Order: sequence, then structure tokens, then C-alpha cells
Amino acid sequence: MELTSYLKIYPCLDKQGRVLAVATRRCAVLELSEGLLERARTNGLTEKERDTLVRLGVLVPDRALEREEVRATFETIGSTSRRFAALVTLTLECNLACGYCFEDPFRGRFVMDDHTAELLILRLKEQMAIGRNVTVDFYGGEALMALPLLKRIAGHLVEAARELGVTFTFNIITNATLLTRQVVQDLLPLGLAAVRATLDGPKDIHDQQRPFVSGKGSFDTIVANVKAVHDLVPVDLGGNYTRDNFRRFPEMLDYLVAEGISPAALKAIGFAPVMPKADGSVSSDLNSACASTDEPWVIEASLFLRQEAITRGFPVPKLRSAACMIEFEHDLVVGYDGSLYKCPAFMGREELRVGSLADGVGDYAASHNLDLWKNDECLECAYLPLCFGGCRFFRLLKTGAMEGVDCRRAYLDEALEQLVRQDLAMGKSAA
Amino acid sequence: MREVNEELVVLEEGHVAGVVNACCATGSMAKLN
Repeated sequence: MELTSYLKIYPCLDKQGRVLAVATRRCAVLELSEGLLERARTNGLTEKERDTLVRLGVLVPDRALEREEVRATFETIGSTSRRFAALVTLTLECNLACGYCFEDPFRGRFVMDDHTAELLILRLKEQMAIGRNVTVDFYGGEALMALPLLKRIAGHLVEAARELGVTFTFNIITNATLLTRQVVQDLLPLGLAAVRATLDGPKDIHDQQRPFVSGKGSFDTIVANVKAVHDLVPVDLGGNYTRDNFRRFPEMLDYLVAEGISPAALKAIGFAPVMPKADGSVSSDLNSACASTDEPWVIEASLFLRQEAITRGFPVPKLRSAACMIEFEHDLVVGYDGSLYKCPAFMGREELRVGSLADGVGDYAASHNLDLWKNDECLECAYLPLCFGGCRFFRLLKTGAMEGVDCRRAYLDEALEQLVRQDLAMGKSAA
Repeated sequence: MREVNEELVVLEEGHVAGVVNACCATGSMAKLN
């Protein structure tokens, strides 16, 4: 037995002679004595110790074999998964006019037509017929501006899933301005599983960043709607911050609590830096947008806001192995016109269109540089299971092509230990 | 938390279910379900 290549060791500052071990493939965390770690390196463990370390992925039979297994991660998922996921753009119309919207370069009054909707239903039924459980993330523009269409698609699919003995669920990525209690009640029987809403900090910041098309602020409407529905459906709350305003986001968390929204009742909360638009441009009043996770202020902001959320009892997504949607064979983005993409930020870029509902998916291995992380440096990096080459859109923005990886090493060197300690503290407070 | 012995404590079992799609552009919708 050997120690896995995908392991980080941190000293326990308050406990001399002990270390924290993080096995990044499954994100298991252990506290070990330095003596035991040495015995693990020299095959001097008891059977019980060895079994525990093998089970949690700290010890592996053969590192070369493990490396090949990791190299084949997505081929394995693709050939064994019984799940199909589509992010479906119902409309590119939106009732908000957010200055940073990455769809800005291709937004407009474009709505999925009946023919495309029928094709979508047909293709998803085909997935169900071969035994796959289907999940749809309805997306826009503002997805709820196409509510009748959403209901029609979900209605057909929930019925088909029942007939074919698989599951169908859907989520809505929504600005939440139209997310009333009645809407949620109507959608739950059709398979609504969760919603993702967005609040960009306290009212003055949010209303400036996410106004209605009329110019009026949207904060009060969204908070009222989240308050009205969060006991009916799991709500995942996100928000977009800049270098100049992230420190004020905890004011919004306090406001939600004061408004009677129980932190524990939310599904999860997580903030992200404002990203450049799909064409790489940045709104002039948001010049502190982020195009890389390793910028020092982004690392500071992400850890700070995660901690502030945890301190107030809001659930945050725990650390786990994750990758860009591009890597997953059975995950697709469907444009309003039936075009298929591998990332929502690629919509509107003809050269990154991978097919259509009518013609199916073409070969995108070369155009999307699928194997870019399959090199010695990445395969030997302990962070690989948390990154798998990072965000292809960021890479595209930086270099004009999906060449090379969006390396997360600088970010994780700085952040991983703190993320793990935050998770452990969250576990203790939840217990 | 589970103590195997005084030299080995499991603080977090981790995830068995493999890798999730963590889309940067839409704010990691995979974490919803």
C-alpha cells in the first residue's frame, strides 16, 4: 500500500505531533499522529488503521494504477452514469438589466419556439427510454418569463418519466422577481426540486447591480419572494461581488435573518465574483470584476464570505471533487434555438456550438481540448480532483483559446486548509 | 467524528458519489441536488 498522490497534509497548530490529512478524491479529512503517518509510509499499520485509510482513499494499492483511474475519471462516469442533465435556455429575455450580465452580448427577445420545445421533449424522452434519470436546469434570460413553456415541457417530462420508470426533476435558475408562492405550488407537482436565486449584497448594492429594466431596484421583491417560498422549495442563494463591495455582503445575511428567513431553512448559500461578459468585456461601473480565481482579493473574499455565512448558521456547499461541465458527457446546454453547447457562457459563439437538438452532438474533443489536464504536472497534483483543469471560460477569456489549464494551485495553496477547517467547524455547529 | 484509536481520528468521511459538475458560469447548480 502507498499514500495516495491526492493528499494534502497540514500541521495541527494547537496539537503538537499531529497533522490534518485531506484526501482530495473524496474530500475525507483525518487527524493523525505524525507517528502513524510515518507508519503509513512504511507499511507499519495495524489492520484496522490500514482498512480505515484505504476506505477513505488515503492509502491506495498502487499509485500508478490510481493515476490511470483518475485519468479515466470522466470516461468512467460517462459509461456508468444513469443520469442525463440539461441546462435549458427557455428565453434570452430578462426583466432585469444587470450591468455585468455575461449574456449581454447576445441577449434579446429570443424565446424557444414550439418546434424546438417538442424536439427537446423528444430528446429527453429518448434519454429516459434508455434508463437515464433526467434533470433539467431551466435557465434564461429569466426562465420564469417563459412560465407557460416551462410548465408544458416539465408536464410532458414528468409524465414520461412515470411511464418509463425513471425520475425527472428540475431546478430553476431565476432572478426570483417572479418566484411567487403560487408559482412554486404549481411547479412542485411537475418535478420542481430547487431554485437558485441571486442577491448581490445589501439593498443599495443589489439595486445598483441588479435593477429592473425600468431602473427600479429589485431587492425588496426578491427578498419578499424568497421569504414566501423558502419553506416550500429548497432555495440556493447566490450573489455576485466585486473587490469594492464584498465586505458589505454580510449585511444582507443579517437582513435576511431579521426578515424572518431562517438560515438553516435555505438549501445553501454561496457567493462568486462578478465575471466578465461572454465576449470578455466588463461593465464600466464594475471594473473590479474577476477573470481568475487566484487573484489575492478573490481568495480573501471567498474565504471571508463563506466564514460569515457559516458564522450566521447558513449552510454552504462543502468541499468536494468537482469539474467543469465540459468534462461530463451527459451534461449539455440547450440554447433557445436548439443549439447545443458544453457551457452556458459559450452560448452565442458559433465556433463553440457542439450540435443541435435536430442533429445531435458532434465531436467536440478537439474544439474543447478535453484532455488538457491529462499531463504529468496535473496528474501528480494533489489538487487535481478539486479542479480537473478549472473553468474553460476563464481560460478562453485569458488566452483567447481553451489551451492550457485554469490552474487552481495558487488558490488552493492559500485556501484549502481554511476551507477544510471551515467545513469542520460547520459540522460541529450543525451537530 | 470517529476515533479509530488515539493516533487516528476520522473528522470527515467525504463523498462516495464521485465528481460533480460545478459550473462557474451559473454558480454551481450541481450543488442544488
